Amino acid sequence: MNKKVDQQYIDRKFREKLEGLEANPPVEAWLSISEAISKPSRTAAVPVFFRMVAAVAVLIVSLFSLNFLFLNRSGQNAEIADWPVQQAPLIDLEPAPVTGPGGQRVESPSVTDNAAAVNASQIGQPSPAMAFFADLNRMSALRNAYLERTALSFLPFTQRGEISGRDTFEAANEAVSGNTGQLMLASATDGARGYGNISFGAHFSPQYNYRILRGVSDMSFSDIPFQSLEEQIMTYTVGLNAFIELSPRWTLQTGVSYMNMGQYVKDIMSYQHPLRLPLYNSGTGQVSHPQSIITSQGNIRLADPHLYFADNQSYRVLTNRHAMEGANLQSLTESQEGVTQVFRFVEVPVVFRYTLFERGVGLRLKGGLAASYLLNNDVFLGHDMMQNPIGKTTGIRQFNFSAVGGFAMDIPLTGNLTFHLEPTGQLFISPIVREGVMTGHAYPYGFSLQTGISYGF
Amino acid sequence: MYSRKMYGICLRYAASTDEAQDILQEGFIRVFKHLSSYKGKGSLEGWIRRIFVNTAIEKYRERIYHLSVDEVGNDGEFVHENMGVEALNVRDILTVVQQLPVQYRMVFNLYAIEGYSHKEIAEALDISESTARSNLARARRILKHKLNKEFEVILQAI
Repeated sequence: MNKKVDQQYIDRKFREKLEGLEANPPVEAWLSISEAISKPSRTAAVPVFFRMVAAVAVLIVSLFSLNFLFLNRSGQNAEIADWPVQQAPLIDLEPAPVTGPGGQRVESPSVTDNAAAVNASQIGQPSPAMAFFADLNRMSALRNAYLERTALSFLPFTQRGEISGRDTFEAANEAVSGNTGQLMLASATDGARGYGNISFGAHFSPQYNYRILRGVSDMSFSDIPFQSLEEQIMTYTVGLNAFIELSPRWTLQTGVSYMNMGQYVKDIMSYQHPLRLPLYNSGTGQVSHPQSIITSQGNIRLADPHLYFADNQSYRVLTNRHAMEGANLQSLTESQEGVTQVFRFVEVPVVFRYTLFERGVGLRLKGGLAASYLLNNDVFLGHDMMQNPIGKTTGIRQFNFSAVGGFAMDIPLTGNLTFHLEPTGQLFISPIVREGVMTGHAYPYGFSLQTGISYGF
Repeated sequence: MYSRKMYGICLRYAASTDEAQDILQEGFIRVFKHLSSYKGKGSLEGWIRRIFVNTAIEKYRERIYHLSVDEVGNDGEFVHENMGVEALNVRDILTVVQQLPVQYRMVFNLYAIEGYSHKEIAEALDISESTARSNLARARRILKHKLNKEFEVILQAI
């Protein structure tokens, strides 16, 4: 018998049988190829994202610096306004005389030398700590003197001779804001802070999520009525905020958020073995799930080998028959209905807030853009997002942009703490599914009630 | 158009469908990337086929550096259950080939199916010609060993 089994004979028989071997590639292989071909390189996307984060960071630092250098006038106003006129700054600085229309000389608040306090030479050799505090005092006095002069220059000439000390600043505020100080640059006695100030905070937002479909009629598998086969879900967003006051009415809001979005895909039945045995085996011990589910927001690649899926309403479940050979589908029992897709993003918003009203509680209109980077995604069985995921959605765009808008209610608490309540809407302006995966486009959107606290500096 | 044939090639060179899908994906990406370099010399199918075989070879070369001796296996490890005559179809033959240790599978595919010479195989896989020869001999011995019990029937079947 063995004589028949010569080497060439084995080669020839195997060649005849295998040379023309053909097999249908599984659906997920095509999805992977499509994904890989249309995928922008990670090296390109990631630096763009980090460049944006860096730009926001630079913006915050720049504005923070500006705040310290030039803009924090009202804060200084408060400091000076509470300062009795008799308590003069501590250094020799002859204030510039201000002359009214009548030629009379108007003395600005007195600036005299309080040598006993700061002149270290009169109390002997200064310690480094004393010298440091003396320097701080001198700097503070220089700034105050500069600010006083600036504030005075806002006044009409006719009023300059009539005011001094604390009145100077209140009058200057009125001159600048044109009112009695109800908005920014409010008088120091209100405790309101001026523009250029920065607040940092954190927020948590329960969020209602869904999507808008465009070009659905052109969508691949266009007979699938996605609109009636998918539903909204509730997720959440958490994040850190920075608020930078640009002017009396305008504030820039930015930060970093961790955002969850997604949808529920209904009428997908799942089945499993009563003993939860794996259903598929590739023959070499490596399990590969042979099914995929088409949704308006990408294609779900299933990974749990214990589950078999069927579509009750349409033909969204694709099954690779080749890989199904040998699958044990006997005695399956129904598991759950539907799956939930969740996409997780890290997001950097750049939002402008316009003050509509501020009397204790501030009401602002807000709008802007947000850039979000897809961190990962999961698919869960049913509605339960706490259990183990059963697969991933493929074809999702890594980098997305969205428009943000809404209202912000700022409620002062104690000191510098503010409570924020912000009904906010967000709509992706880039389709979430990459080009080439589907011809139709899905634009996720969300409505959230941002609740948070910020601390102003 | 060529996907079924190319996936057949991938299945021959791979140990599993997952691995075959990896080769298929990598191969098609290369085809799309380098389609402009196809000058029309020879058949397009032959050009695409060569890309897939080369992809499989590169995958093997990447993988072989990470294989331990245990993973390579030896002639006695091969086990295949239920090799009944009635089960002997292309899928079973493919399974037998897929279960060859990776070095032997590569050499057997390149020599017996693709028609490479031992010199070409040695260059492609970065091994010596004598290693290529001995790997081929071992591959045949494993196949023979596994098919031995019912070999006469098998030969009739295939």
